[in-house]
Amino acid sequence: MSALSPEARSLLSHARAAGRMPDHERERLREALSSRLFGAAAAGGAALATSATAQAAGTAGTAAGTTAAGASGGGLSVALKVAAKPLVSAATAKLLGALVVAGAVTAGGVRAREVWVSHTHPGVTAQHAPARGGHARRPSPWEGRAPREASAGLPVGEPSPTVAQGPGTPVEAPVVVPAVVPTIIPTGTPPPGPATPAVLRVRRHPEVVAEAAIAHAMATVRRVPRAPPRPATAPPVGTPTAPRPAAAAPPSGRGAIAPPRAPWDTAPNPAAEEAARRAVEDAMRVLRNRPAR
Amino acid sequence: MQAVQELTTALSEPPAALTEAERIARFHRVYDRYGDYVYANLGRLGVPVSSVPDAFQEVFIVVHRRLEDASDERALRTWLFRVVLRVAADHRRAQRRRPSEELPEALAAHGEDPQRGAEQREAQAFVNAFLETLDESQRALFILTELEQQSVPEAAETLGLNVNTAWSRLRVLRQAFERAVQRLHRRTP
Repeated sequence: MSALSPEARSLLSHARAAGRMPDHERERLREALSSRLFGAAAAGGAALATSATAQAAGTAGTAAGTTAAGASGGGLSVALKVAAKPLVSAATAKLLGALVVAGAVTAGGVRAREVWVSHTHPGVTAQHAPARGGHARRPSPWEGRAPREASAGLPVGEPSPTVAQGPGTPVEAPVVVPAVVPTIIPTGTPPPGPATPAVLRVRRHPEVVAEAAIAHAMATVRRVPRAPPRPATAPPVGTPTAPRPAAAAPPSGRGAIAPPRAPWDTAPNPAAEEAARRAVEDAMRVLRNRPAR
Repeated sequence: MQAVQELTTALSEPPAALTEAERIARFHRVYDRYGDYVYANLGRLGVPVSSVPDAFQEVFIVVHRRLEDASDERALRTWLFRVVLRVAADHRRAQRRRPSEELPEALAAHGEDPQRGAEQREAQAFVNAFLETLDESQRALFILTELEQQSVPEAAETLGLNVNTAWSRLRVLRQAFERAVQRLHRRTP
């Protein structure tokens, strides 16, 4: 039996030492697994359930400390599905729900009705079709007649292979955030030794990915071109129109979310964007355990 | 994940019921004892660095499902390595389907002595590169014997190999590793 040389043994010994799990990682993963498997930290929200969770319209936004104004308006149904694997914090999950309610997440030029977060496929997929695994849902009033053309040339993400093509097919034009979002965040505790300001720790935690995905979704909404209104919904020319009933005053202040708009109305919506931005800030503060200002 | 589920199902034996407290205690015991083992071997088996925590959790979710059977320490380690093999294979397949770019490892801060840390990382990169050249069974054998320092009979049992076959394969692997080390030394005098 050939024995290894001292050089080879030394290399193996170093490699053995380098493969060890860092202490902080051990504790982080233990905590994550414990909360996931034994439910210690699941009290904050149903989103941590290990099976797919569908939250009714509005609850996500409300729970995130926001007012889900118009959550059910226009038949908008929000389902926040968290796949079996993800370890997305309740705050993140609720935030995503809030963003959907706010109309801040779009897919193919159409406002999303679902945000799907998966641990194995990190990112956010906004789509109109039922998510895999299926759940009962009502068809949205604009299903099948949303502006499909906007999905072509959308300069973000990568089109899903399941994007429906051709007229009459259900709209399914997901915007998929790249699988790995390089996110670098400073460590809470600097390493010992001389000051090394450039030293950063790279983390790819689902929450971090979710944060980046949210930022991506927000960038998306700004880049989606305005699509023409659907003539089918417009009254015939010359038809006298009754004055519209006064809408309830939208909530204002921090955390307020603007009511949803028509699905083809993808022009910049400063109110929704501002609400989403605030929601992102709030959730990120929660995620990073920072005290509120 | 499918493969892992199949493996879990295949191992089904009527488990003895544990109370919740016992389950939690046993889970943490297994975690403390084998956390490093699982973490290190996922990386060695080719799971991308950024996916190791995900894969690690998948392994321990399988462990959680099978806690009732986790009383036999030796069998547990063998079984765990098989789960790790399956999970790593799943992740490598997923990586091939959806290739992604790894963040440069150099960006990561390591708290240890920088010199030693750099040496260890270089050695790890070298060994991992060597492991990449092996097929799955060779890789697993080399990991178990040379990195996990298990005995050849034990490694053979884990991998379902004849002991003599394992010895024979290990001899070839060691020679290949020696050649790789010599090439490295020639490149970096």
